[in-house]
Amino acid sequence: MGRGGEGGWRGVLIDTLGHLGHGFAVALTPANLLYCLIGVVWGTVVGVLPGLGPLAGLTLLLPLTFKLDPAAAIIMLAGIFYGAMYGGSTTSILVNIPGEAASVVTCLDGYQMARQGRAGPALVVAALGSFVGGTASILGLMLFAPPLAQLMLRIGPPEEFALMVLALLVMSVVSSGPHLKTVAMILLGLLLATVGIDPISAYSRFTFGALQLSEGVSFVAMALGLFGVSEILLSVERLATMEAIRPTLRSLVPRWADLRASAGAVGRGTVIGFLFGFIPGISHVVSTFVSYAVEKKLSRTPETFGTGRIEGVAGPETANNATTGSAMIPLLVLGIPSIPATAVLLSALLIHGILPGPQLVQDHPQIFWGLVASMYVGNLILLVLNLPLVGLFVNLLRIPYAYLGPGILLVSIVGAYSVSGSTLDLWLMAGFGLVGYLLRKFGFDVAPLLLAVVLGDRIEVSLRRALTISNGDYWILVQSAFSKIFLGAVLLLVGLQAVAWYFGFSRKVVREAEA
Amino acid sequence: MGWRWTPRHGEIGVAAGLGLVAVYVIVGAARMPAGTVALPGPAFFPLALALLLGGTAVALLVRAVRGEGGAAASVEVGDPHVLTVLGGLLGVALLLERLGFLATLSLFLLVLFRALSPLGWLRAAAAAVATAVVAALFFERLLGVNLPRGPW
Repeated sequence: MGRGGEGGWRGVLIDTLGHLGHGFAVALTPANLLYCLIGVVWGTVVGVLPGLGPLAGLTLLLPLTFKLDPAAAIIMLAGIFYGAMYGGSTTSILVNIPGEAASVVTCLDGYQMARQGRAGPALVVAALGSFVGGTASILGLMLFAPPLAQLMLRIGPPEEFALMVLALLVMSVVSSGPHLKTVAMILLGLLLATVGIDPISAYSRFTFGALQLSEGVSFVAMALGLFGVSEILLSVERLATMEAIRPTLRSLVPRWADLRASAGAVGRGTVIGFLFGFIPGISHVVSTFVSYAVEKKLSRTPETFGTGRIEGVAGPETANNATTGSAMIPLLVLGIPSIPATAVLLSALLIHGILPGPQLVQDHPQIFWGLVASMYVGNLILLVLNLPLVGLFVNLLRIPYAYLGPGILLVSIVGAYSVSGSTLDLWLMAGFGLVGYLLRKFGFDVAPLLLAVVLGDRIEVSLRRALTISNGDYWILVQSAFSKIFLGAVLLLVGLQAVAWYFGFSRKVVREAEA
Repeated sequence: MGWRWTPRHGEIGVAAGLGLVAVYVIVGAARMPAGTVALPGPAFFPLALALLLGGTAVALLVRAVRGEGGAAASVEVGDPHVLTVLGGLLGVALLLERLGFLATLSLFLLVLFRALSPLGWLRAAAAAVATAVVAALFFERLLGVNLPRGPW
């Protein structure tokens, strides 16, 4: 973005287009196109199959990307991420079971449309909305990330600490379930991140004398256990074969009235999804609920929502895909994953020796722009492939879980073992699977735990470096303008939570007094 | 057919577990160099987190004991299928490098297919071995993943 000063916006636009052209040169190599295709198809399969969300899908393939070059690895993994958003709607519409968390809302009207013989228009509108939302959010990523990266190059350890504390606090506020439980999961995750060699003093912490733990607890084993294995344990308790509605290819052609009715919802869903993509926590899920609520509120006949309204499919499906581009911004520019799936992308970048953060756009432009370009290509592939392949996905849904579950476990075992060739990772995967199963049974959300593990090292290092710079003076954490802004936002959030708790408490006291 | 737990008991159990983790970390961190205010040592961050976690565990325990989470229905924990899958995973961890990938995964899949599906022993064994062979070919030959051969 060096020539921004000459010709102002024109110069910036020319620079951006030049970088994007370079990105397409990377993305359109036969090898990277193939990896993009593998990623988006596997992502769609992962999204279609209930119980195998994008996080498990990403973690399963992560070890297999170790031998690829960094651009190819991130292109494939990102393809799984946004591909799963496309796939989740298929199961929601045809089976009334969400393929992944962000497709819960699509069940409400999508399945009703399928029961009325309108599965085709529902699937088409979901795919078109996903394409529009996904493409628009990539445009936002392309336009906002580089200037934001320039701004973030000015931040040091104190500001980085304040920013990550803000990210964790926002996560605790927006996460589902009681805040106390989320805080407990975040603290546990931060503690797990301290296992291994201390990054500053090289002192060995909580390794039980095991050499394999000197680099910390295996992220792949932990993620596979907490999300993959625990989901399978929950699923085998209620084994069932799914019955799916099967649309014909001819019925996939939507009416002009359907497209016109969904246009507004698609536009609004794009904006909602893009804004929510920045927020750490469960942004893509929350965005779908917000989009549905907005469409219902704006409708002249809100009571018909839930009976097969096409806006109830178009808005949420657009919103969840629109989060994919904006979720990449905090990941690539700040190195902060806003959702667990992007935590896996972060892990992949680190494994390949690429440090995400403000310097990524500058030091590894082929990775950033190659990824941006591949997301455009991937979204187009998904739009073209999703609808003709819907019959294949319906057949996938018919595979009994009694065979699907063991198959997924087999891939998990290979994935966990192949990271370092150690059976310790298998023990860890089983252990975290049990822990995840129990935590989820008793209403604890494990996503904040994983996000905290990913951020833990950097939070500790930035805090200790800040204190070293200031010779032990804690005021350094609030001195700079950026720190004041981030910590001010932290205090505001804590204050709002306290007010909400107070009024909640007050209502409880009033109710008890009146009883 | 597992054990039925009320959410309240489950939360008490989790809070107790978190409390134990906090105590373990505090004891472990006490043995590490604390460093100075200007140069915090390796004990600094884990100790601070463990104290916060301990406080949170106590708050969770109080909340659970008071029943503030609401009166939700009891949940079943430890269904036989769940125990079979967990046992199978632990078995794989134990046997993978001793027996090799093919033998261990064939055994693992056989146990799971028999427990989860209506297949008889013969069909389950055939399906298990076939799946393990295809997986070995796919991961080892196609993707170049190193999998243990065992003593064979």
